[in-house]
Parts: sequence; C-alpha cells; structure tokens
Amino acid sequence: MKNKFIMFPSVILRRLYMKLIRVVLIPLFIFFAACSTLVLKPVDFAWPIESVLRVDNDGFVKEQRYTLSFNTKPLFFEETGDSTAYLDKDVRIIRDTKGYYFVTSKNFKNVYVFEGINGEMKLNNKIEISEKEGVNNPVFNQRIPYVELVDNGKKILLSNAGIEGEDKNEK
Amino acid sequence: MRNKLFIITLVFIVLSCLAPAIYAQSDYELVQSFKQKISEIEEDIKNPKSLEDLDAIYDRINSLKDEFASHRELLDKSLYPDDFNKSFSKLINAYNTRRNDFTQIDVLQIQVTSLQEQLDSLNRHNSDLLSRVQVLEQQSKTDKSRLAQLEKTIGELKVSLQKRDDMVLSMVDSLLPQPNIGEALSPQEQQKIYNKLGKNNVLYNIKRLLSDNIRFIEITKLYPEDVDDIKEQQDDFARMWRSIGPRMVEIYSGKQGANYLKDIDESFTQWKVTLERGVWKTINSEFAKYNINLSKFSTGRNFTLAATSFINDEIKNADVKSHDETLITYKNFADSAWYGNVKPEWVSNLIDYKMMSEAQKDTIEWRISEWKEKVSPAKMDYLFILVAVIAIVIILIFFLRKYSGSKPKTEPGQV
Repeated sequence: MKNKFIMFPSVILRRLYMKLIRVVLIPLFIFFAACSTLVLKPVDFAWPIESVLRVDNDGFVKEQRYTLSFNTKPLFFEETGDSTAYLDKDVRIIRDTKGYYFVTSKNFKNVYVFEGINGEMKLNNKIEISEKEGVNNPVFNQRIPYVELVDNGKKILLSNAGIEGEDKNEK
Repeated sequence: MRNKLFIITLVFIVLSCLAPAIYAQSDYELVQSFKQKISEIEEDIKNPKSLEDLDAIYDRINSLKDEFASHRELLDKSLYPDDFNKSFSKLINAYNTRRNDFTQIDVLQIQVTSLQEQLDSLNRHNSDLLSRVQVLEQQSKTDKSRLAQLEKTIGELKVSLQKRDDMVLSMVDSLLPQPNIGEALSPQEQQKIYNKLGKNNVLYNIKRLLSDNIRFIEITKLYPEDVDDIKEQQDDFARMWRSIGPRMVEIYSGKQGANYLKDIDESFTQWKVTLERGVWKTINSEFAKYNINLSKFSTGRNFTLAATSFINDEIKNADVKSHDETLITYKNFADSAWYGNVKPEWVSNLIDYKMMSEAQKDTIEWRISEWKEKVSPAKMDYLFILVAVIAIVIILIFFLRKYSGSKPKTEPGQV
C-alpha cells in the first residue's frame, strides 16, 4: 500500500523530465555557447627592432610604424619622482613576442613591462636592472622569446616575468 | 723588449675587456647605420662630378651589400615598407638612371658643339640674306625685274631663319635640364649650366633669333600665310621661354648676363608688336593699292575708326562730288579692297589672332551698306523693277493678242 502511494505513474515522470530539459538544460546550453570566445593563435607580436622615441613637450611619444602613442609623464614620475623629468628625453620601447611592451630610458634603474589593454598601457612588471645607478646607454634587441637589454656591453635577457636566469627567490 | 711585451699584453687585455662592448651592438643602431649609408649613397648618386665618380659609387653599393648581408633577416623585417633587396635595387635603379643621364649629356655635348658651328654659319648667312632683301626691296620699287629675285631671296631667308630658330631651340633643350616642378637646382648645378650656356652663347643666340625675326617683318611684305607661320613660331618660343624662363632666372640670378634675360623678354614683346604693326601696315597698303588713303592704324579699333571715318567723309561729300567719282571710290573701297581682298584674306585671321573683333568687322560692313545706299539709292532699284514690270506686261499683251488673232473661225451651219 505504501509502495503504491510513492510510485508515480510513468506518464507523469516523462512529463517531468521533458519540463526539466526545457526549463533548465536548453537555456544552460545557450548560455555556455554564448560565453565561448574565438581565439586566434599562435600570434607573434614581436617588433623586429626597438623604437627610439623623442618625448614631446606634452610628455607624449608617437611610434610611426606601429601607430602607437602614449603619455610618458607618469612613467618618468614613477622612475624619478620628478614631474618634469620627461623633458628632453628619449624613450626606448620594444614589444616582445607575447605582446608585452618593454620600456626604458637613459638613467632608468628599471625596465617597465606593460600590456596594452582597453586603451591603456597597464604595468605588468617593473624589472629592476640596477639598484644604485641607472642604465647609461640602454638598447633593446629582439631575441625571441626574450628581449635583450644591452647597456655598455652588458647583456641581460628579459621576459615579462623578469630577468632570465635570475633566481626570483633571491630577490 | 720587456716593455714591448708588456705593451702588447696590455693592449690584448684592454681589447678583450672591450670586446663585449664592441660586439654588443644595438639592432636599432645597425638598422639606422644601414639606412644612413643608403641615403648617403643616394645623395652621392644625385651629384657625381664625373662618370668615374659614379662608377666608384657602384663599387660602394656592392661593398655595402656584402657588409650587411649577414644582417639581412633583421633588415628585411625592419626596413618597412622596403626590405634588404628592395633598398639595393632602388640604389641600382638610381645609379642606372644617372649613368644614362651622363651618357646622354656626353652625346648632347657633342651635338651642341656641332650645333654651335652650324648656328654661327647660319647667323652669318641670315645677315647676308637680310641685307640682300633690304637692297632688293628698294631696287624692286624702281626695277620690276628685281621682283623675282627678291621673292626668291625672301623664300631662302625664311627657310634659313626657320632652320636657325629650330637649332637655337634644340640647343636650349640640350643644355638645360628638364624643369621639374618644385625641384630647385643645387648651386653647383646652376654654375655648371651657367658655364655651359655662356660657352655656347645661348642667350646671345636667343636674342639674335628675336632681332632677326623682327627685322624680317620690318623689311618684307607680309602675306597671311607668313603671319600664320610667324604666330606659330612665336607660340613655340613663348612655350619654350615659359618653360625655361624661371630656371634661367634661377641660374643667372646675381650673375653676369642677367640683363640679357630682360632684353630677351623685351625683344619677344617687340617681336609680337612688330608683327601686329606689320599686319596693319600691309592692310593699309591693300587699301592704298586702290587709291584709298586711310589714316594710320595699328589696332583693330583704330582700323575700324579709320575705315568708318573714311566712309563717313565719303557719304558727306557724296552730294558735292560727282556721282561717278563717288561710285568709283565706293567700288574701290568696298568691292575691290574690302570684299575683294582684305576681308577674304585677312579678316578671319585677324579675328582669330584677336587683333580685331566681330563687332568691329560688322561696324565696317554696316557703314559700307549705308554708303552703298547713298551711292546707289534704293529708288534706282524701284525703277528697275518698274521697267521689268512694264516689260512683262507688254510681253503678256503681245501674247494675248497673238492668241486671240489666231483663233479659228466657226463654219456656217456648225453649232
């Protein structure tokens, strides 16, 4: 008698399954299908050589070939703490194969790694090159998959994570 | 010996310390250095002093190619939009073009020397011919047998002048580089051309061309076909002068001979003025041939005024002068000079050359028709019509009478 009460007729069960499919599973399928993004890979963002850009009076630099332009005032302020440090300066910039921008300038102690997102250059990493003195004559070379920083004959390989071969725990 | 060893060791130590710095070159600087060397060669290709200099540049192109061959991959990527090969093919193209220029310059130089000799001889010949024509013009006024000789000499002179003019123009073409808009000559190029122009007396020859042509118009009688030819020559000259004038001013600026340019400008204007005067003089002489003496004129407006005032005077004097005399003057002016000669031969050309307007031509013709009214009034025409009508009526009457007279008589008994 008890069993008879609990048992549903098979027609009712089938209807219940159908409803479940309609109400939950179909919308879920549509939702996930809409969320999947098209991805093109692999991509090589690397610039073959660095660009040396003169900072204008408003603090902007403009790269003609890749039509890149940005404001360097916050960069110089971050490096020197001086809001006018950008005046009469050059900026050296190169993009690595992953798409990160490596930026530095004469007498900088750091190389700044940026990623370009939503109309911004967002700092990804700040790689310290020298604690005491800045780089005298820095140049970037593309050495895929790294970026090479040369300063007065001294070479360092860089990636967005930092200096290649340097133990990160040491730092 | 010890010291020597020490110095050598020291040098080796210093060099080995510096080695990383020497070899740690920036890709950017390498590309920049390549670009700079390419642009230096490009500049040198533009201004070589001789063909030997240019050939030396070819060797430099090859050694630059060898020097940077090992960096070809980097340069291919960095020399956007060019690449390694394209940079060199551009240089080679520029080199070949310049080499071609040099070869042409050599050929042209030879041509110019030969032209110069021919030109001198033609100038002398033309001077002789001009003097002969002048003498013959005078003689032919009294001795008609000289006319044939005069015409022959004028024909010879025309051909000779045309030949000399062509020669001067081709000499100018040979010596001056083709004008490129917006491209100024370097001071060295200017000096080079200045020397060449001076050596070949180009400005003198241009001025001589103009003065001889002016003299030709002054001493000969112009025919409409002559005017066409001269106008064409003037257009050619104007085109040439417009094209080379600014460059000449650039080359002669502040140098000896600058005044020649002004003289040439003035002579060209004088040539045009002389031609127009010559045409009007000829037209005046056409009227004079029929004893119509018009007052002097040198423009379309003056000519219209001279012609209309002559007609006005004739109309006024028609009542005073005898009818025959008036009629003869009218026929000479209108039928012989205007409609018989000046209008068919000159007027359409004058309008084309903008020396006379349609309105001026119409004014003269309107006055001529008024004059005709006065000389042979319309009542004369009515008289002729009346005579003709009477004649027709008489003829009709004659035929009607004849017809009614020859009508057959009807036989008695016939209905």
